[in-house]
Amino acid sequence: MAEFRTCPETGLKIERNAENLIKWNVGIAVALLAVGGLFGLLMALTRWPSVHLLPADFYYRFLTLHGIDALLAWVLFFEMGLIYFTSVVILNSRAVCPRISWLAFGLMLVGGVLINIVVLLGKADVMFTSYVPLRADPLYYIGVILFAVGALIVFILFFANIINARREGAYDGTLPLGTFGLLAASIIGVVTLLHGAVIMIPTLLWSMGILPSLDASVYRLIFWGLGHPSQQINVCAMVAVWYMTAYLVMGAKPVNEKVSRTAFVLYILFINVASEHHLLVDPALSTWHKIVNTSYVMHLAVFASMIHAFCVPASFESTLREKGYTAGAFEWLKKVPWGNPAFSAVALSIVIFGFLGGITGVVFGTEQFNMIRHNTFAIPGHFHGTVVGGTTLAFMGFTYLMLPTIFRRKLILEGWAKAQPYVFGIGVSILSIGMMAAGSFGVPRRHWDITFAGASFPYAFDPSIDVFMTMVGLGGVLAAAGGVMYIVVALGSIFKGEKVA
Amino acid sequence: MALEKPEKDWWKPLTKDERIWIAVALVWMLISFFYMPYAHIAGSQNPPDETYRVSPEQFSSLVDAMVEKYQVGEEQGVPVVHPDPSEPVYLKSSMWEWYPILELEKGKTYRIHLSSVDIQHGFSLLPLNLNLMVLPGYDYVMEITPMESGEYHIVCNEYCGLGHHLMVGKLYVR
Amino acid sequence: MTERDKDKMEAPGVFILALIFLVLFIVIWFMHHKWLTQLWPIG
Repeated sequence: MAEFRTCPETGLKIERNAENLIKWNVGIAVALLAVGGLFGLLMALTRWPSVHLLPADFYYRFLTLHGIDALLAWVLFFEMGLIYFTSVVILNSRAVCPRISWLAFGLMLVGGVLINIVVLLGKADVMFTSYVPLRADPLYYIGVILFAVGALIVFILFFANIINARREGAYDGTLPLGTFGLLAASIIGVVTLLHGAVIMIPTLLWSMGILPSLDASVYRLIFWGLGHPSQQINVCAMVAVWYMTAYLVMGAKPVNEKVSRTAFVLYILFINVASEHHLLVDPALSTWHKIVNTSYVMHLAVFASMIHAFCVPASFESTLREKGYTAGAFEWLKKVPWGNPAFSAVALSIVIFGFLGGITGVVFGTEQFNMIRHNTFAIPGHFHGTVVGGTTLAFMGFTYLMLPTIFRRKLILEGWAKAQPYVFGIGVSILSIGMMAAGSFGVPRRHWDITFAGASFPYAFDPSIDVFMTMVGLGGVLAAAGGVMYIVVALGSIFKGEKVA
Repeated sequence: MALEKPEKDWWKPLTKDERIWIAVALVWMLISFFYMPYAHIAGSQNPPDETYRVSPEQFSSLVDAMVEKYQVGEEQGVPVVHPDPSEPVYLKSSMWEWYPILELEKGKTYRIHLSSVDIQHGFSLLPLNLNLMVLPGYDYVMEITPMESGEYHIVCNEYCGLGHHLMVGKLYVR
Repeated sequence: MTERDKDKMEAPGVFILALIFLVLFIVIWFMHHKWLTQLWPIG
């Protein structure tokens, strides 16, 4: 029988199973961010020219794990928490099939741990993209498949949960916008992870010697059917978090639900075919194929992001205008709760996602422009703007709201929490701008030594890149400091925070 | 209301700022989309789309034949080749070398065939910052006209194993 | 919503910020266009 309690702050009816699922998924996500973030710090310290910390083999090994832990594991585990939050908790419903939910959690955890062990043992120095014919140990691919199957189960459970909630009469009529956003994420998630199965199973067979060969171009095409759309799961989840935080912190409601919901539908329609930012300067694919796919079909999914990035801050402004802060164009801007870490994280997330990640995403994704940016350091500059400055920061902010409602703990070190989004956001911005500037001089990504010491024909970069590479180092250290603050506050509150009644 | 169901009449008209922003954003997105096909017609810098299948053995023998015919020197054990612009030019990538060193003439148009004989590599011509993927099994043909004479380097920018950062080649334009 | 509301600005401040964003977007885009045309002719 489902057990419920009522949250005194939000008035939500929270079921015990759902609460525990969210706690464990989010808790593991935070722990994995700690691991992935540590590897990230080591990356920044290695690419900082005057530090150049790690030896080559450990640089490439930890870079593989930085991608796995910080990009895949942290973000997806947190999204699993969001799935239960939006499909169960805010519908005042119960989690269906709790055993299957826990099985999925277990699969993801075993898969994630397995990947980490195999890579740390030095058996899969292949980067998280594992481009064939670069070969990893079969256990690496098994880890990826277990993790992906676990995530796929949870995406499917999302649908089961909302159908059940409706049947049992927990809600009627239209889904709340937060749930609607995760609905978009789950649809994209199912399609994405099916691509993953289509490519990862043959790759596993190939690594075991059962399949004789695997075509490099086919692998890239289908891998990015998994790889880039999975970033759109993150975008949908992040935008849903923007809307939910606006409501929970300020009571702000979307200015126009029609616009916001239509924009989510644009994501579903146009993102699934958009795997090809990565393949613009590949052989084998035709020009038209590249143009249509790379542009999310005429940039209509980017258009959706531009709508959301307008609608969310517009909801802050219109809420405060209703409260009487109507002087000039910007009086409201002084009155938004800059000291609330959940709010400031979302505000910075919108700005960094749009200005750093979004603009460069469209520009680098333009077929011709890609020739002067592909695989340079500018590319990680772009996605540290989107996934780190955007998604990760928004999720960090949402954790501060989940701690009292789901974990039933008060925040420890509130001063740290207040400063954390700023430290992290500024650090990531410096890192990202440094990467993009260095990339415009052709500095390659995934590269241990850009002085090329020991090479037959060393190339000397323009000396000004030292400034930008130092920005990468300093920004990385600052972001890591913000990450440590987050992890201390989050884990500290979970274990040592004062209990909320 | 992101946590509650919306008010009953949520399908409502847009306000003025929403209408303008949505229109402006849509127009700008369509411009940046149509730039791509337009640049293929009117621009001179486009990603090549001519590709053939080729086996590592086939490609290696084509490279060797070109080196034998047009070699003019040697640097660090890598031949320097001055090919005829009217004939196909080959550049081979492998762990962890670009082979051979090409010597091109300024203002002449060349058809350079790129391929890899082992795993994936990234062709990055510096300081020009021109980047293309090089895949095993595929022959990627770029038609290129060098415009300034000088010494150029080719860096590998797709991770290709422990010696990835040592994979640097050279290219001359005379 | 009345006819009058339709011509009201809901969020004039954000609208200005959004236009600044768009201008920056277009500037960065055309900077890349300029850099691209400095490449050697390729196709």
